[in-house]
Formats: sequence, structure tokens, C-alpha cells
Amino acid sequence: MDIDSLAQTLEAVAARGQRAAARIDASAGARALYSRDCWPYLTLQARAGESARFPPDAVVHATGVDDVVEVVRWCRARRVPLVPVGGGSGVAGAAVPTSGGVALDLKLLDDLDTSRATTGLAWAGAGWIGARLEHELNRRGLTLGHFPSSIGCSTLGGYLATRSAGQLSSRHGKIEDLVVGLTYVSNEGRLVETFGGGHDLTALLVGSEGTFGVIVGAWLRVEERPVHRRSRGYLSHGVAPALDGMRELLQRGHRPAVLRLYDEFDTYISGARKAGRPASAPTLVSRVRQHIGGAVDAAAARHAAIRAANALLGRSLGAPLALNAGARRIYDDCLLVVGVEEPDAELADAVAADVFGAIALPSLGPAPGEHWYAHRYNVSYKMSPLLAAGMFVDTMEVATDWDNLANLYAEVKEALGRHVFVMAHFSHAYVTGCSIYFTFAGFAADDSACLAKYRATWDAGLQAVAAAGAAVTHHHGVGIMKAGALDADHRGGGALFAPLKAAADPDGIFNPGKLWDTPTVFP
Amino acid sequence: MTARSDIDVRDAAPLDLDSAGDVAAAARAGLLPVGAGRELAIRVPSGLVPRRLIASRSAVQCAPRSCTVHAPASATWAEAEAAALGEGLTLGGIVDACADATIGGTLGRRAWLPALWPCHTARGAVLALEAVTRTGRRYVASGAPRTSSGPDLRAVFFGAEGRAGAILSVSLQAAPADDELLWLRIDRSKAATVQRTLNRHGAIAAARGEGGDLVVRLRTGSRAADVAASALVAASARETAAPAPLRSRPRVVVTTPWDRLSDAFAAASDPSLLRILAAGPTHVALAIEPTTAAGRRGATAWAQSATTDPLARWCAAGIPVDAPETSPLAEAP
Repeated sequence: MDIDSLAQTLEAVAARGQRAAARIDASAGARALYSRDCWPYLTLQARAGESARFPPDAVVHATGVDDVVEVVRWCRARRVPLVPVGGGSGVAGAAVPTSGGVALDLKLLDDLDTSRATTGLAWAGAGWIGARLEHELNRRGLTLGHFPSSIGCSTLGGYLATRSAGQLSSRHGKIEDLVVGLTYVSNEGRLVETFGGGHDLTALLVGSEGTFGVIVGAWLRVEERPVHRRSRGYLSHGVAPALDGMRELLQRGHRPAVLRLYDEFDTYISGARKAGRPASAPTLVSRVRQHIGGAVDAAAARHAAIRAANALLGRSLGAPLALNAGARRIYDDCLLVVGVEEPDAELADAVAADVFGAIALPSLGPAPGEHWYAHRYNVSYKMSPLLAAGMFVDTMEVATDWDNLANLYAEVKEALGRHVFVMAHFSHAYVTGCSIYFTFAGFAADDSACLAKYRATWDAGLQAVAAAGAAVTHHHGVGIMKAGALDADHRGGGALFAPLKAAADPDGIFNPGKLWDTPTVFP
Repeated sequence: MTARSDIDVRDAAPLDLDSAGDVAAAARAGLLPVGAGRELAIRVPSGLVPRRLIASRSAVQCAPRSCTVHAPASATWAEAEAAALGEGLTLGGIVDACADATIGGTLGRRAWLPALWPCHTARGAVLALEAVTRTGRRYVASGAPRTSSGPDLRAVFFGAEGRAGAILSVSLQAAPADDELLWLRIDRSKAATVQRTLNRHGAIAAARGEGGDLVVRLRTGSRAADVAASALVAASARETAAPAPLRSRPRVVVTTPWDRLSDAFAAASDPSLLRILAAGPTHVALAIEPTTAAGRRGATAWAQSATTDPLARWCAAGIPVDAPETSPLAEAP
């Protein structure tokens, strides 16, 4: 790739705009950094000491939309692959440049226009980090209402490209519900607005994972910032009574901000903390260690004990059938967390009375909800200790209608449970159905065996989801990992996608090897 | 694209969508699927053959637990609503605007539309979708409430006016039929108050229009609804009867952001032809009800001139509209 030529192009753009040129970084470090996102499979490969398999040839940090336009034109003229990159927090490999080329970092596209916020509209550039965008909106008395657990390290463009969901989606909706229209740079290097007549181009660009063009900004639906919060926890004997309660609540028209049901073992693992007990309560890791290997924090042999506990934990995770069977006998209560958020106190009280009054389960008071709010972004950061201990951890988010939900839960848990230790919670609930978020942890004798087990786990899980007739992904996107399972959600979708792709990207430069575009299977 | 117009599609030969092989063959031969034939002046691209879809075997089915209604594309909204009501469900405001139109026809005609409150947009209500592409291949989108499995390929068929193939069946989101409703009428000048109030109560409320005023529908029986009603009454809303059905199916529908609503009425040469059809968090859908062909042409011209705001554009039309094609994506399928 002729990086000098690209640099000259970007310098010319900068000169026209009388500003600094976009930065190009072709260093080994930058190329390695942009060679993967947060997909655990690639993390496991890195842990195994493998060098980066998919480095881009260069990373371009666009400083404005005109940089994006010129990079697209430059890439098109030379048939150079181009992968738009946001925060790199994806967990399926969507932003991995499998064909090299340019990784186009968009994080500096952070313009914001709230001049029409009184009518519920705001314009934001694709590069906004979610937490920063929410902070800026909050300063103006507004909220986007989009709170993914990756909010500190993910971007608006990433949300749009992967059809992301936030934790309060039952109140605010997913990102596709929050976007009114967007602007993207097409293959010809043209800015295209997707709101207007004809086809619903917004629906085709959202979720396209960079395969049709580069999303540079969007008109978003914003709301008054809710500052009055009410929450309550409930105890359900098994998941079924609570699921019925969630369904009835939503079908009566209520929109609680938080609606999360933890299955038995998810409740057990971190139940004490969710119930608002002292912070000294054991962590997820220590609870598992205690459950499996007994107390491990004796000061005299702390490090040795931890190593031993990890080994025990690993061996236990290596026998998932026994561990899952044991887990089912430990605990049979499930925690349901319900939260309400509204802009004024009177309304919050009214909605809380309606919502809480409609749930016929034993109440645990406000503590579980308050604890959840305080720690809601922590979970993603708990995986590192397990990965460092030689295990692997991942999550699988699937969705189906209410009639099929119990079947999906049972089938997928059974399929995953043959390979890994698994627990789940139900969140992102809607009038017609709900998602299930499976968390699983596994172990094998060495890194190579871990990678093989990881693949086998996902294969089994995705096959079970497809067999159950459910959606294979609710909000993590497709990436490399789920490309082979796309037809479960879109039977015959490849035949529809191919002409769209050919029309939008005849040169095949936009994120090649993704979705139905010659799907890359597990590397 | 050359087009023949003013063809009465009710004369089109029937095609049974329950015979997938026939539909696939027809699609490969240049099928232009049509529904109830309510659009008397449809644009028929050259090379395409209009066929009226019927369903010989499939019928409307409901899943009350999941609040969904499954219907063949040839079913009318009224037929689907009747089946839904039998199970205690309703498809809501869509039926008022499209009762005698087929579900497939409505979806084929209506493209871009910002979100309106639940059950007011045909497209927004669709969950699963089964279709045959113009190359004769079958496409099935699963009916999960939400997914992130790539782009929403259902959109290929919405607003494509049959050029992408034929929609065979859909499942639609419904809602429990309301038995306790309160209707409040409020002057259009209070639009900002209405928008703010409804945004706080989107799932239990909706807005339509009557004579240029806004008419808010609230599902009563909750404290939240009481708070919403109090806010509207404080803004001079008064209780009223349910709005009368539309005199005819709207020929032109445009959307406008809430903050441009007054501008839209001000720009209309005859505001009495304008009616608020539905409302959502950011936009209001306006129906234009001209009664003559000249009136329809005038309405089209007005709508095009009145929608200079980039966020206020065409969303649906009974009159063929050569909408600006902004991307090759629009023509690809």
C-alpha cells in the first residue's frame, strides 16, 4: 500500500481546510492494536502467543468528514480494503481487517448539534464515545438513553453499525429505535443522507457493519434526562413466574427502565452484592472459587492458594457437566431487578406505583436495584482475571418471542453446558419477546485446547439457537464469529445481500469478508 | 424507467401466494405483485406483469402470549384486525388508515417513516417476513422482537413497490385490545406540550388529529396515565369522542418534525385537507386527503415544496412518487 500517496492526499485535504492533516500510523504497534477488537477468540490467540493475524496496512485517524471522503476515494481508486473503526470494543470481530488495507479510526468525528433538542432531535458525529456523548447530552438536560456496558469505550458509529442495545432498552429502545436518519460516505466518496423518500436506507445501513459505507453521523432521538429513579428487587422461585410478570408488565404498556431477571446460578454467584449487602461480600470469582475449592484467601499462602484455587476452578470448569448439574442443586431462587426512571418526581412515583404494583412476587426492597445501578458497567471488567488464570469467558445474547423463550433458554443452556459452565439473565424485554444473555466460562489443558473448546462451545450454542428458531444475536452484531449463522435469522439473506453489496460497494473495499460477503469462518 | 400508468390493477390475474413455486416462477418472469387494487393509478414499470395476490389456504393466526398476528400478505388490515380482536389483541391505528388495503400492498407502498408510537406504522409493526425475490428465491426474516444480525433486510421490500419481489406473509406486533380509553382534544399550538407529555408516556398513549387539532389517546387505569391527563388538561386539553375515521384512505402522507408542524399547516393552500394521522417521539405524520385528481397533483406539489426540512420528507403515498434516489442501494434488489 502506497502510504506516501495516502498521506499526500490527506495533507491536501487539510490544506484546503486550513487545519492539521489526519494522522496516519503504520507502526507495528498501531497495526497490532487495530488487528483485533475485544472478541475473546482473538484474545485467546494473543494469550497463546500468536502474532496478530489481521493487521491493517495503516491506521488513519480521520479528523473530519472530508478526511473520510478522501480516504474512501483513495481506497476505491486503488482497490484497497477499508475498515471503519470506532472504539474497538466489539466482541465478534466485526472491525477486524481480515484483508489488511486501511483501518479508518473515526473517534475524532465528534460534532454535536442539539439546536433541535426541544423537538427531540440531536445530531452527533459517529466518533462520539458513548459515555462522553451521554455526558454532553446530560449537561443539556437530555439523554440518548443508550447505555451498553461498553459505554466507556464504544462509539456511536459502532452502535449504529452493529445494531447495539443499551441496558435500559426496555424504556428507550435499541439504537435502531433511537436513530432517525444517518449520513454515510458511499463508495464513490459521496455523502449520503438516509432520511428521505424511497427505500428505508437507514434500516439497511444500521447493522451493516461497515460493508456498505462509512457512517459519519446521525440524527438521534433524544429525551429529557430522567433524574428521578425508583427501583426494587423481587425474588422468583425459578425463572418462569418472573418471566410471566415481565411479559404482562410490558404488554400492559408499562416501560420500566430496568427489567433484568437472573437465573438461579447467576443470582447465586453474585446475589449477595446485587441484594445490596456489604461491599465485602464475595466477588463472582471468589464465590466460584469458594464453591469449588474452599476458602483461598489465607494470608499465609495467599498466592499459592489463589493458584491452587484457579487450578481447581479450571479443573471444575473442565468438567462442565458436573459443575452445571451441581449448580442446579445449589439454589432455586432468581432475582428480578426492576427500575423506573422519569424526568420528574411525581411521574416517577406514579410509574413506580403502576409497575411495582403489577408484580406479584416477594419484594426485596430497593437495594438490589441500587446496587445494580452502581455497578452496572463492572461486569465486562471481571473477565480479565479469569482469562489471566487460563480460562475463557464469553457471552451469547439471543432473542425470541415469549412463546419460545423457555424452550430457547433450556435448549441453549443444555447445549452450552456440555462444554462450559453457564449461567444467564433475561434483559432487553419487549412486548413480543425478550433476549437471553448467557455468560459462560470454560477451561482446557492448554491454550490450543482452549481455542478448540471455545469454537466447539459457540458451534453448539449457535446450532441450538438456530434449531430453536431464535435470533442468533440480539445486540453484539455478527462479525466474523456469527457470519456462518446469519441464515438462521435471514433464511435466503445472502441472495438479497449480494446485489445490495454489489451496488453499494462494487469494488469490494468496505470491510471485506464480513456478513454474507464470503464469510470468514473462525480463523 | 419507462412506466405505464393508470392501469386498473384489479384486472390483474390472480396469483396464489400459497403456491410458492408459482410465485417464484412469476417472480422470475417479471412479477409486479398487487394487493386489493385500491391504488387506481399505479406505476407499472415496463417488463413487469401485475398479478393480484390471493391466499387459497393460509389464514390470519394469532399468538396472544407473544402479542403477534401472522397474516398472509393478501389479507387486509381489517381481516387481520378482526382475527386479532377475537384473541383480545389489536393492531391499533394502522387499521384506521388502511382497513381495506392488503398488508402486503401497504408494506410495498410505504417506505421511509420515522418511528411513530406503537402500532401506528405498518412497517414498524412487522416482525417476521417471508418473501420471494425477483429472482425467485425465498427470503425469511425471523420474528424475534429485535436482532443485530446484520442490516434489516426486510427494508428491501418495504416501499419497493413490488420491484424487489413479493411479500408472502408477515407477523405483526399487536397489543392487548384497550377497553379503557380517554380521548383528549388539544389545540395544535400546544404541540410542544403534547410531544413532551407523550414522550413520557409513549407506550400508553398516541396522538391523531381532528380538524387540525391534536387528539391524544390515553390508556387509562394507571397512575401514570392520570399524570399525563393532568398535564394535558392543564394545557387546555378537553375530553372528546374518538376521532372519526378518515373519509378515505389518505392519498399523500408526509412526515414533519414536531417543531415544523405549524409550518406545514401554514404552507397548505387548504389546511382543511390536512389531517394529523399519527405521531411519534420526533415526528408527526400528516395525511392529505384531496378528493380529485387535480387535488392530488396539487397536494403532491405542496408536499414537495413544504418539505424542505431534510427531516421532513415523503413517507408514503398513494400517488406514485419519484422520490430522490440517493444511493444505488435503493435500486439494487
